[in-house]
Amino acid sequence: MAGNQLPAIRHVLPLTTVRLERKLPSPGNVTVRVREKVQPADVVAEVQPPAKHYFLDLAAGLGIPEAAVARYLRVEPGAPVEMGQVIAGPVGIARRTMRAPANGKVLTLSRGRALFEALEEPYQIHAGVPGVVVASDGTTALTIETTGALVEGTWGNGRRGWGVMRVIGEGASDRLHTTQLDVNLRGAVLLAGVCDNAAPLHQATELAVRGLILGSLTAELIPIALRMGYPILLTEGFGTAPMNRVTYDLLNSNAGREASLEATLLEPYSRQLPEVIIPLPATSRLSSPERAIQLAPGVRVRCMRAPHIGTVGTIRHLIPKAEGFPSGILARSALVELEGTGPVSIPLSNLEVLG
Amino acid sequence: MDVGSVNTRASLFDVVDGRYRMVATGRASSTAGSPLFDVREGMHMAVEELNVVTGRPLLDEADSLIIPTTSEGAGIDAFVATASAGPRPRTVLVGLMPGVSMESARRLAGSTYLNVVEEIGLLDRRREEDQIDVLVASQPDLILMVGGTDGGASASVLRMIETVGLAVGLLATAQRPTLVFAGNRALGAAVSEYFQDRATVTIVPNIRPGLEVEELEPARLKLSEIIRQLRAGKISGFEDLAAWSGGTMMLTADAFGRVVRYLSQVYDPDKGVLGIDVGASHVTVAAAFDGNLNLRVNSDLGLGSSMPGLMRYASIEDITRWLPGDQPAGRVRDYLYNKALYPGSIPTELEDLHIEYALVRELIRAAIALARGDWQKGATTTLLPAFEPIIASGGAIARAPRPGYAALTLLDAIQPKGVTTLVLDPHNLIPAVGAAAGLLPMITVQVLESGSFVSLGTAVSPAGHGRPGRPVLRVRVEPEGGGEMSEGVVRFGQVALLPLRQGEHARLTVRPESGFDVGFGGPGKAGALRVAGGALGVIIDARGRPLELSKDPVERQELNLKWLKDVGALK
Repeated sequence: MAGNQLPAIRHVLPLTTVRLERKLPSPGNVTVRVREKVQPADVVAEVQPPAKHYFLDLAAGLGIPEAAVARYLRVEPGAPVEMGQVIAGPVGIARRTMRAPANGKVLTLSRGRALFEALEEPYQIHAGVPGVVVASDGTTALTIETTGALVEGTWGNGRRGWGVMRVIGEGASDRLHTTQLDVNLRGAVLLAGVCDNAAPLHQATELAVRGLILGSLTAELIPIALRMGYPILLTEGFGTAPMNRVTYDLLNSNAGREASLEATLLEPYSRQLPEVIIPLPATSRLSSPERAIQLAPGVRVRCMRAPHIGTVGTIRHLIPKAEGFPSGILARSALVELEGTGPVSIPLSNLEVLG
Repeated sequence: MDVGSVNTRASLFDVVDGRYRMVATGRASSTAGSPLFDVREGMHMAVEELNVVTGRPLLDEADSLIIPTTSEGAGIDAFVATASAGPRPRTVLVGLMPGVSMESARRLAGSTYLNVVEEIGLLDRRREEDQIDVLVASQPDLILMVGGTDGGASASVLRMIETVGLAVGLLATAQRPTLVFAGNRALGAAVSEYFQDRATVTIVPNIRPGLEVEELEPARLKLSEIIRQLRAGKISGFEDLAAWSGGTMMLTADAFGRVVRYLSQVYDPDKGVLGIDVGASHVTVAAAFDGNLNLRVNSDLGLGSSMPGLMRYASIEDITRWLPGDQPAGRVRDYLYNKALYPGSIPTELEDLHIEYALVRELIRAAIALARGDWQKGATTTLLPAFEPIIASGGAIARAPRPGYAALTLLDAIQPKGVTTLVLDPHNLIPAVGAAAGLLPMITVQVLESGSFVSLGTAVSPAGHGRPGRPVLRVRVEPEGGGEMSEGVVRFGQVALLPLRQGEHARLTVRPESGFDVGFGGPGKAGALRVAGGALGVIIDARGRPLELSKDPVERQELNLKWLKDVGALK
């Protein structure tokens, strides 16, 4: 047992229970109830965008001393006011007044000024997957539970999308070309091999694709990928490594089904990984993905580093003593039966469990 | 116990022959991040590893540490802990003058694990309401307010405090940040009173009590405590770690800085002590001069999740210039970003190793460039001051396959001048020793002298330039106790090793040619001194300072390869 190693785990599961947490970017209003069924396009929350604040200089506007401002305030702090509504005054013969510059509210008075909060139109958050709401705090987060296939990725561009998944190219190592992208793919979630060229990313925008799942993307395309309006999810990482066989086969076998892409941008200590969810019906209660799996004989792993990057295999046994590698580094390792290669010693640090 | 973002390490020290020694270390995966977000599992695994290595039971049936040692020899007498793992609190700095209090606030924030997301100062051109919107939109965990010398400015400070107060009042109670005031001491009570019903404000000593006086240390200690509390709110298990350590838990960088500061009081007062810790999420630079510590935690640099931050300070060409062979820029860029995805992974191929250590060189260079402004104000030279010793710590450095690889990496990255000792901390003991020094003051020097640290050797690096092949210096090493003497002429562009084993001492005589300065009073001045041996003996780095690499890529790669071979980094 590699008792002191808790490897990363990447779930590639054909059918499981998936819990998807929807965190609101700022406090808002969760519009669904716990145990309520939702469809991908359903609105599950409304979020108030960050309000814009203004200081309204009431003392100067009304021509009165700072100390007298409170006396002329015509609205209660915190109470909603409409654009153009008188909020202070009238003062003097000219009956000077101050009016609200927008729909909003006066928050407080400070040195003869009113701090005014202009309200913005709320925007909506959609469920993104069909499922059941299983948790909600009413204002900042909710959790939707669904069943289906789950593929966790390594990187996402911070977008999310939903659509019918279509396979393009010849396989997991095929490079994405503009010639493969035609009008028939409009509105689809695309599954492809690798991308080392910006042109297909731009063309996908023109086709209004709903998402792109790749094995790898060259790192020089990161700034472009981040600008794309549709979600891009990588299963391997940066470079030209093909998508690992297990992941590709699972996604390929679900071509034609609807898929949800959560191409979450990775942040240190973030709990949400980039993932693809393909909702599927379940006839019985399914368990949730395991949180941690120790490296041990029989465990299926994926190699994260050259020379076997992206290759999947099964641990034969853990090597008791540190192994030497061509780089000169000594590391605790496992003998892994790699698909298509045979038994290979790989450092434990370079393995992640394919759950 | 040191809880990092990739590894958790447990180190056991005991008294052997009346002196503290490191007995064993246990290393385990850190569990502060995904999937557990709980440091306890990693702590237990590291202690279990220690248990297996030493055969000494350390945990009881309830998985709690056995303290104190039992009559059967189980357990330990004292436990100290350090941690660098955990998210960095999002911080907004609020202050007055850009070059005065704000500058000090930046230095304070840069000396610990804070993520400064916004700054608001007196000369800020944004309207007050825009500043309020920015404060709210920043979603800060912490607002650090500074400004005003003691007994100095008050009206402008209070106006600034009012802006913060209005912004904080707009946030929901659960979202309100921790407030710290480190400004004009006379305003402490007024600031506390102002925030009375809105938020709790912690008053810490003024970091700029006078226009020309900066005192960061008291505020940093208090800030460390606040950072620990904020992290504990996001990652489980820190409470247990704090409980086990009986309140002595420290941030890793603080413990690291404590050791470097202590050593600067013990070693040559004419030279500083430099400590570099290259972690996955941070690169820490600690430079101390006669007890005065300058600490800088570079949280946007690291050989892991912080790796992409390097691209702000270095180009791909800066990285590839250290490689001993041709590598496409795209491959190096892919490597860099993949390292951020898989921070714990290690290079098994030689080409990957070269890329990894090219990245380490640039990480160290960037970190020192950012830090040196604090201790070399207004410096017109690109050369660093003299250091004795230079200590390197962190997983990547410790993992170097051969001492020569670590030594050349440090020489390339730091480019020390004169005579200095390169010391490696292969077991990452410095944080543990630093934390333990609070309880056991003698532990630092005793463990340092015990052989737990690896001396790579004494490096002699003449400052100056010449034509390749021109003699730079004549050197003689006379081992104490009558070992075999070695001497020779070292020419420009060479890196030469003269044997002197770890634990041995020798008289080193250096006669530089005119135009080359080894720190004996100017260019061309000769001198002799007693030096200690190390894994590589005495290293003569006659490549000149500052080091200028060839612009011809083929020649540069050949030289890089030659230097690696010269120091025994490659078989």
